[in-house]
Amino acid sequence: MTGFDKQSPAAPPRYFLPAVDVSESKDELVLVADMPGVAPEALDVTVEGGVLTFSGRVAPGPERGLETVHQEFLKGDYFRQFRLPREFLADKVEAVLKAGVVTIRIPRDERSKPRRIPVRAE
Amino acid sequence: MNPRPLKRRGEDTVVESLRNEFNRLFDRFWTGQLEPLQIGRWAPPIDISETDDAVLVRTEIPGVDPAKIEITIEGDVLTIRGEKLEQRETKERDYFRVERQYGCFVRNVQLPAPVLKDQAEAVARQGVLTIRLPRREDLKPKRVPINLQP
Repeated sequence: MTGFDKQSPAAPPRYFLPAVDVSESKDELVLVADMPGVAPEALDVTVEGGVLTFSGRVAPGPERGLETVHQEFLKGDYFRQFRLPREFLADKVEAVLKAGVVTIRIPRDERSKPRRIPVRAE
Repeated sequence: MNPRPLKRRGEDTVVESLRNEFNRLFDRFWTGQLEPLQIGRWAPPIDISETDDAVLVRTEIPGVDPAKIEITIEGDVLTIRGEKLEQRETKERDYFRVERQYGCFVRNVQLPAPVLKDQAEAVARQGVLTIRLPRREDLKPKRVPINLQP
């Protein structure tokens, strides 16, 4: 979908939202996004002020001199933002791109993990 | 605890995805080139284009194992079948959002020109499958020259 929503100044003029799965374990937060057509060098993942932003430019078509017969691919680039909860370490974000799927892992801050307090018998 | 999209954008997420879906429905309806939409079933988007030499069919298959894709051509219909498996992690985890679609899919495409089935090539790259089908030379449209009589 093209950019009718331009509230974020960081958003490109034409973009659409990739589908994302978000899950959490006791160790980390994981975001998995479908971004077909994006090469690793065209993927951008940033964290600023507790906001995770990921965007990707879609490479142009495979051949020149193409005449489109039918089009369902959405035109534009991928762009999406999430606000990170404070208990995750924004400076330890890892992103891996494989077969058009980006996996972003953010470890949980050890200090925020639940802690069992030992009780001493007197 | 729950990672939320930025508020303003979050509100637009649903509207935007509905819009995406609606646009696709609209396009399909007017082109009438593809099979009727199967409601509730995942169908990866398809682009069809032509050059002088070939027909190109592309489909978005992020995270789909190419070994799980079957491409067949029968008459002038190209069929792409496949399955996108859910990548369940062994670790215990809670899901907040599941927007990606999983499961089996089938797409049938009516080819816009006669092609050489035996020379079809398929390449999967960055989650996009490109099928290149060379056009049949003998069935290409031919221009008939007109001889001017004096």
